[in-house]
Formats: sequence, structure tokens, C-alpha cells
Amino acid sequence: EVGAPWWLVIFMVIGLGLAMGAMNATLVSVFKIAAIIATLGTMQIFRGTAWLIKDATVMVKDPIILMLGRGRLFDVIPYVTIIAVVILAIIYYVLNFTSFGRKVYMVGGNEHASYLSGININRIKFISFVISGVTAGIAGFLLAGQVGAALPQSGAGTEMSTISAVILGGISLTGGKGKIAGIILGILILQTINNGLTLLSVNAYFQMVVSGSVLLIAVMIDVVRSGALKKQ
Amino acid sequence: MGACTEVNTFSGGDRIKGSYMSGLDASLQSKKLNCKKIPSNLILFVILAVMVGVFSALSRDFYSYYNIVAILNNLAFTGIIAAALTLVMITGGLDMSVGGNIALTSCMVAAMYNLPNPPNMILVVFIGLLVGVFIGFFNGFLITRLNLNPVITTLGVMTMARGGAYVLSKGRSILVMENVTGFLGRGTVARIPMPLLFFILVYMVLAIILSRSKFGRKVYYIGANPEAARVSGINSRRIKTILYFLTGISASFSGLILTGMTAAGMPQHGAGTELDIISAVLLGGTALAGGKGSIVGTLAGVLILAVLYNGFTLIGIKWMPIRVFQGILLVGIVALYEARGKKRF
Repeated sequence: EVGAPWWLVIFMVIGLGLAMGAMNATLVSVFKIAAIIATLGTMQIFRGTAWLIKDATVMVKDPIILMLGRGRLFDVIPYVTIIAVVILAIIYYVLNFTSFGRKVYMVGGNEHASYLSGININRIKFISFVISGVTAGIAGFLLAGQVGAALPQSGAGTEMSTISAVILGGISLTGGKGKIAGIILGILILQTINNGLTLLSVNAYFQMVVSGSVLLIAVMIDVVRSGALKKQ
Repeated sequence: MGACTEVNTFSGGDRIKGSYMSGLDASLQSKKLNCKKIPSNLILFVILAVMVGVFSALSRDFYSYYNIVAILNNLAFTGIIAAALTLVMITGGLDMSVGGNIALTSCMVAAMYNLPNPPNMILVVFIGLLVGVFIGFFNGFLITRLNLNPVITTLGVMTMARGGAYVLSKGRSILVMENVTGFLGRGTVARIPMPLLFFILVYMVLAIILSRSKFGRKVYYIGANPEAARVSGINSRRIKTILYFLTGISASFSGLILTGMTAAGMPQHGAGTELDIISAVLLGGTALAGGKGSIVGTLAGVLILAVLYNGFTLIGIKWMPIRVFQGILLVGIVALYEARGKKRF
């Protein structure tokens, strides 16, 4: 990220996200590995590779990348927020108004029935993982712009807060249910807790305990709501 | 679109049926694979022997008394947990909280040792073990009584435990210079290091329980077909809770050993250990879906990983490529076993 112009960097970031998403997707949909174990393994691979490439901090000097990470439109709305809203809007549209989106719900709700009704399950799963990879790539790019540096350890533990937010937002762990509005609420709740704890000057270590508890509470809410407690 | 929503509402019933059917498949498969169990373990031990040969050829220091003892000593603390986790994974569960458990135990012991007037160290060690007992029962309660997803639950518990360790130690490592944990971690009996002794003991006891006792058979049964196990009157909640408790207490015991080995209580102790442990158990032939696995297999998995990392270090490979390799190994192992056992959907 030293010599290339900003548009090439964005292009490469999206390509990289695509490639990593495709790797996860292949492992899950072709080799049938449990998604949690597969992505745990690739997490280790990707982070190890990040350390291999550069085990030191790389400064980001490109003004446009920095602006995208830190700047504000009309000095009010951060560009990061705008990008997030745009991505959420696109995913909202895809989930609710395209046949792909409906198929995503259907595969999650009942994989066997979708298989029988002629849905290419592997393709749906593949595309979903690739989308997740691309968004993670964009997030990494924006984070580099925001921090002003690329660090091999950036994003450590993000998976915890992301999963917490998604589950808090009502996306069922067993699949088939969930709304974008729920995710937005989940993220806002989580960020409010984090920000509030910091402002109350709660010990950073204690915040770790809190984030673990939030994840547990989110999973409990999910179980109560899905009625799995009564089923047993 | 109407059809989709209709499928969604019926998904619950079909899901149960689906898991019931796959459970039946798994039980049939495990019966088939049980006959082949000894050969597949044999393959692992052949791989281990080949690796020892290769590393001995590549590095002069590998096949020395001190290095062999060092390997065995270092694998003891992950190995003890891997043995207990094997049982949990045979029932189809998973415990990611072991790393946090190690850290919390270690910091708890260190913090109590550094009190103005510290209590008797034997008492402190018992309180350290109580940490594992508590975490184990907490995991068991959440997973079996509240029916939560084991991976996500224990991930949350891991963060809580590690956070607790950081709070207790204020983010620093605390010196523990005393004899009780020192004996557990560095002591020897008849020139055999204590960690290795515990390692052998745990494997012998668990291997006998798993293959020779009624309890062990029930563990396999629950993993192979939970529905059939329930119908035939097996209290799977109780058995699973006992297994999570076992994993918890073995993790905190490993925490004690590690505290003794390093003479320090550190909140970073055991970070990332869960990945190594799970890799070893999976390498030993335990299925992620449950119903398959053995202590001997896990022993082979633990040994192979320990020899591999030690050999890599001796050849002069840095930790960063090893970390990449760790991930590739985990994914590769699962892909290999899945390709061998499972039919395509």
C-alpha cells in the first residue's frame, strides 16, 4: 500500500476479500467442513499470512484512503457511516427483493426442502461466503484508513463482537431467520454498551468480561425466542 | 415468495426429522468404522514414526534425550485437556473455553499467592481447581439445560474467563515462587517429570473409562444418535454435564501445571491453545459430528502435533509460518476425514 494509487488499492482489497471468501466458501460448500471449524482454520491462516507479509506497522499516507476512513461529508456525516449504510441497503434489497435473497432464507430454513425444490444450495452458500469475505475486505480497508496504519493484529476479536451483534439482532443461530433492521439495532446496542463503558471509565479488561456476557445473553435470547427450550 | 414463507414455517419439524435421520446415518457409519478403528490409529502412528525419522535426519538435536523429554513435558498440558475434550467431542459437543480457563486458574492462584498473608498453598491449588469445576459446570448448565449452541457458548465463556484473568492480574504477569505448583510443573518422581506422569495417568484412566465402562459406551451412543439415546432412557444431559465438568477441571489442572512450569501467573497463558487441542483431537479421528473417536487416536494426534511443532522449531522455521500451517492443518484434517466418511448431499 505504498506506491499504488487509491483506486487500484480498493480494487485489490475487493479482489482479496473475494479470494478469501471464496476459500471459505469452497471449504464449506465443496468439502462440507463445518463452517465454524473451517473459518477458525482460515482465520489462523489469514492472520498468520498477515504477520508473514509484514510483522510491523505500515503507515497509510494516501490522502484519499485516509479521507475515506476519517473524513466527513459536509463535515457532518462520516464517510465510513455512508459506506456502511450503502452496503446495508444493498444487502437489504438483495435479501428482500431478489430471488437470490429468498433462496438464502430458504436454504437456512430447510436445506433438504430447498435441495428437493431444485435450489443449488452450494451456489447460494458459496455466494454468501464470498459476500462476507468482500465486506470484511472493505472493513479492513476502512480500518486502515481510520487508524492511518495497517497492522497485522488489527481486527483481532472482531468476530466475537460481530457474532454478538448479529445474534442480538435476531438472526437465528440455526439459520433461516433474520432481518437487516435487527442487525442495525444489534450493532447500535453493542456499540452503545462499549462506548458507555468506556465513558464510565470501566477497566478495559472488565469490558472483555462484559463482551463475553453479552454474547452469552444474546445466544440465550435466541434460544428462548426460537422455542428450542420447550422442544427439549 | 409465498412458497418460501410456507417452507420457513414448516422448517422446525423437518429439521428434527433431518437431524434424526443423519443421526441414524452416523450410528451406522460408526458401526462400520469401529471395525476399522485399529488400522486408522495404526496409520497415525506410522505417520508419527515417519515424522520422527525425518526430523532426526534433518536436525541432530531432535533425537536427543533432552529434546524428547522436552517434547513430552510440553505436550502434557495440552494433552491432558485433549483427552477430556475427546469425550466431549464424541458426544458432538465442543469446548472452546479451555484457554480462558487456563488463564483464569493461573491468575487466580498467582493473585492469592501474592495476598499480604497468603493462605496455605495446598488450599490455593484447590481453589484453582474450583475455578475449572465452576467453569465446567457453567458450560454444562448453559449447554444442556438452556440448550445453547456449544461453540458460541464456550466462546463467550472463554472471553469472560480471560477477561477475568486480566482483571485479577491487572494485565501483568505475577511471579509464583513456591513449591506446590512448582512440584506440579517442574518436579520429578524417579526422574520422570510430573506433567508427563499426570499425562500418562489421565490417558490410562480415560482410555479405560471410554472403552471398558458403561459410561463410555453411553458417551458413544449419545454422539452417534442423540434421539435414540434419549428414547432408550440415557440421561444425556447428566452425562454431557459430567463431561464438560471433566474438561473444565482438566483445563484448570493444566493451568496449575503451566503456572508451575513458568513460575508465573499470566493472563496470556493458554491463548490459542484451544485451536491446537481441537486440531489434535480431530487428527486422532474424532468426528466433529460426534459418535466416533478414541483416546488412543487422540494420543497419536497430540504426539504428532507436538513432534511437528518441535521439529519445525529445530529446523529453524519461525512462528509466523507455523501459525499459517496450523490453520491449514486444521482445515486439511477435517476435509480429509469428511471426504473419507461422509456421503455427498
